[in-house]
Amino acid sequence: MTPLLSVRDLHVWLDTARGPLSIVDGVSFDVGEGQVFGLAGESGSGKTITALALLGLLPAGARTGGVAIMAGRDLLAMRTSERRRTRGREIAMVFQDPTSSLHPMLTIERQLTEHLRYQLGLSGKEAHLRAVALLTEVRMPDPEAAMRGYPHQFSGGMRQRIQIAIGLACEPRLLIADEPTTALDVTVQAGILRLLRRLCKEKNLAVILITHDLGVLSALADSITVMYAGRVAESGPTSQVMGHARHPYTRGLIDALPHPEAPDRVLIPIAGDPASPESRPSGCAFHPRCRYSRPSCQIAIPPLIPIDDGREMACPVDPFMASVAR
Amino acid sequence: MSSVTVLRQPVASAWRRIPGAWRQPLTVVGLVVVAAWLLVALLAPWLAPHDPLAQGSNLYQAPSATHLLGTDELGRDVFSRVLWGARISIPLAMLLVVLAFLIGGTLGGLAGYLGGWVDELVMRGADFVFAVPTILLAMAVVAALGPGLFHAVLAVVLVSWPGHARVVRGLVRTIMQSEYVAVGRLLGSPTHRALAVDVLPNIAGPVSVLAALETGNAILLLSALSFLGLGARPPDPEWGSMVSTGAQHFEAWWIGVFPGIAIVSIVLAFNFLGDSLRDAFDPKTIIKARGA
Amino acid sequence: MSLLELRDVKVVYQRRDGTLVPAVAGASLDVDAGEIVGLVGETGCGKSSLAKAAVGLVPVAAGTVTFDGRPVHVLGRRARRASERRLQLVFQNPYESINPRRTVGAQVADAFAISHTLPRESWRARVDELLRRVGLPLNLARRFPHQLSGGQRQRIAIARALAADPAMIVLDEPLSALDSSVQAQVANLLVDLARDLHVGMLLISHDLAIVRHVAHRTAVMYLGVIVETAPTAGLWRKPMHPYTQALIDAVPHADGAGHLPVALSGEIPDPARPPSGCRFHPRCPHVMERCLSDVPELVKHGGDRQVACWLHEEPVAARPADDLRRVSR
Repeated sequence: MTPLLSVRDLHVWLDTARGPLSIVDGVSFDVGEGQVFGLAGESGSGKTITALALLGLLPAGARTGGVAIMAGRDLLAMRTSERRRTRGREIAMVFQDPTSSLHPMLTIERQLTEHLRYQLGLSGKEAHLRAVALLTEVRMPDPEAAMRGYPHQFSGGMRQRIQIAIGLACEPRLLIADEPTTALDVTVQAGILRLLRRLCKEKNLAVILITHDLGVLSALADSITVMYAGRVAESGPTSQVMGHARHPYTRGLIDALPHPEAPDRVLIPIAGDPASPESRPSGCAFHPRCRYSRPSCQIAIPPLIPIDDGREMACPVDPFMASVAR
Repeated sequence: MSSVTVLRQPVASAWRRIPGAWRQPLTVVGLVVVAAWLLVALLAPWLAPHDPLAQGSNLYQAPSATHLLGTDELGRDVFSRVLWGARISIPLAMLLVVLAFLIGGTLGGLAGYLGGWVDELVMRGADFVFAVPTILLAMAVVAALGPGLFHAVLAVVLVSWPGHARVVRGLVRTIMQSEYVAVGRLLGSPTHRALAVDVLPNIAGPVSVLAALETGNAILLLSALSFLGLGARPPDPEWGSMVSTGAQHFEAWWIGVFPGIAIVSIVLAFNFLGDSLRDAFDPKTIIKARGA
Repeated sequence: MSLLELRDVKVVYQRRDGTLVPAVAGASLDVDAGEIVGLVGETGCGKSSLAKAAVGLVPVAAGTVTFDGRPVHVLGRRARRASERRLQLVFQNPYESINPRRTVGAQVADAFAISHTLPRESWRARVDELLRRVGLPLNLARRFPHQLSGGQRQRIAIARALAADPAMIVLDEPLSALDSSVQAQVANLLVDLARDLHVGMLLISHDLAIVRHVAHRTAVMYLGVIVETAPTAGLWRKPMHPYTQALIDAVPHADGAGHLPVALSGEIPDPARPPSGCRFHPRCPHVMERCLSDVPELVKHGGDRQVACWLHEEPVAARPADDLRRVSR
């Protein structure tokens, strides 16, 4: 089955006073229909820039390389008008902070129906009915009343549901969610995760879920790509990557997390700070923080090599190979 | 061709070492023009080919080799008068901005720090000044005191302190409520130490932006008062009054146009400078310039 | 008697429209020297207000805050009393709690520069010692905050507090602004500091999972009141309050097993108009009739646990049994 979205060798450079700065350096992944694809990484990993590149929302002075094929067309090579149409109708987006993507002075009805009328050409009456249906879909309590409200009258969780409803308005095939639950409490986060899971199942919607929170990815994603300093460290099915991490960075991230099932386990932090694009270490960018680093890691950029059942990993040292062999 | 590249390299690298916000073309223009006018003000007696007050027999003479910018209705050299004009407008404007800042900054600082009725009093006073059109209020003040350059300066100080007061009050209030001041206070720092250590260094930037912008405004306002005959008085070579004279002698356009250009250039330059200072102090611009 | 004692503390804010909001509606908490107490709850439950009240940054409307047996005063225009300076606060965001225009070394030195507890010639050595204590390279002292990473800045914020030789540090979400790989570094640092320096800590966090690894005891706060406190291990093993249970169930597990966390229905209500009876009753899966009208008190269950829930009230003979019947929703 051909995937819905296929990204190959994505590069993003940002023009700076000191010349072009590589933010994303050769990232490839596939997103299948009805699948949740997780993109994990810390600050400076390039995960958000990857999403913005797919949406054509990169800041001025940014250049891209590679291809991102969706339904036979390259998202990176589209003209502005075509891109705008694609963005509204085929790809929806949800961001961390709904307050900045919802208009503060317009009612929810206005924001929902405007979109429906502009993108789908529905009449006022049709748009209203569809908007109520969408709010019901995202489990908004009392959708008719919610339509008359303004964004500030809703809690963070409800605003996030509204944002998802707007995103779903034109029945997109792909939803890109960048840290959609980071600003929310865990109790509310759980509700949003369940909503996303249901939408995937019922509407065959593909989701790119971008977050630093491995717990969230673990709960929702079918497959995961872990990024570090603009490159892929490890990718594969969630159960494999999270359960039997092979790359020292992935392993380190998991060991640093508090684990609800393992009481009294000591947190094992990764030393140092995440690498930033301005000061990306040579060779394997993770080597200064890596416990298993060898002299060769400082020189050669490790290639992404297939390991087993659809997994790839970029570490020639592979210190956890033995632990995985069963 | 290769020698050109070699020559350009050190220039380019020196250029790159300057922080990003300072490398904008408008910043450079602003800096160069302001610096040039300051030099002119300093060196006018040596630069000016003629005595700015000396009347000659050649009235209304168009620009020529002997009189670069022509002569005015009394035969005085316009070029020399424009150069000497810098000696009046620029130092006065700077003096007046310092005065306005001392008054406005002190009042605003007190208002922001003490709050309560002091804040009310100062800010309502500022509101009153803001409510009346600046030039009208300045004119009223000069009219009450009597025309003259000194009175014009006083008038401009009187109308421009509220801008400084507002900015300083806002900054003092925000910074005093900041978390780093709270941390310092919890460590035992008395408020006056918080003012010295946390507030002052953090308001220096915005205040210098305001000072640059206000200097431009002050030059404009002083010239306007002189133009209306309320500021400098003949035969002083003040730009505003020169424009005013020019306006009465349309056929000799050079009498008014060149001092006018002087005013426009210096005011614009100070505004460019203020804008780029603001960019330089804005943390967001710094991040953008760093390319993060 | 505990080192830090909060007794029936109420903190009331006034909204712009004049309504009074009791952000903290009567909370009691004790923290001993060398002990880390976690305070968890959702956004808007009043935990940050309680933290600020604990150090005197906001006034308490009712109740008392005592530190080392003496009342904590609200910070006014005067310098803080020397006796209270051993009670410190670390904020959530190290980008805002450090002055951007001073070197971090100068800011770490603030405590002794202010209280003159150290001769000037020993400042350098003491700053170096503090930087080493929080695991930072010594050459950082001359840098400005923007030259530091988020994790380094939070360590600086902790070093600043340590400079005052504190007996108690209140930390308001000290980990949530940090990258996940850095979070564990700082969490472990807190555990080390509490143990080695015998500092008491009140750790405020929305992240129950990290609190579990750090705190000896945990208090759970809901809408301005504390609903359960217990030793952390016991609280996780057997949460007694339905809200504690809900918080634990909502934590996603990073194990790749792909099970979805459980969502808690409804939203945290407006603290200005709290529900009658038990404040949690509109969201509680075990709500009973009396929960709607009677306010449950925080009562002892066993040695070190306190719970405010009618589910766990000792059966009272005088009450008719059907009062405890579940109400279906």
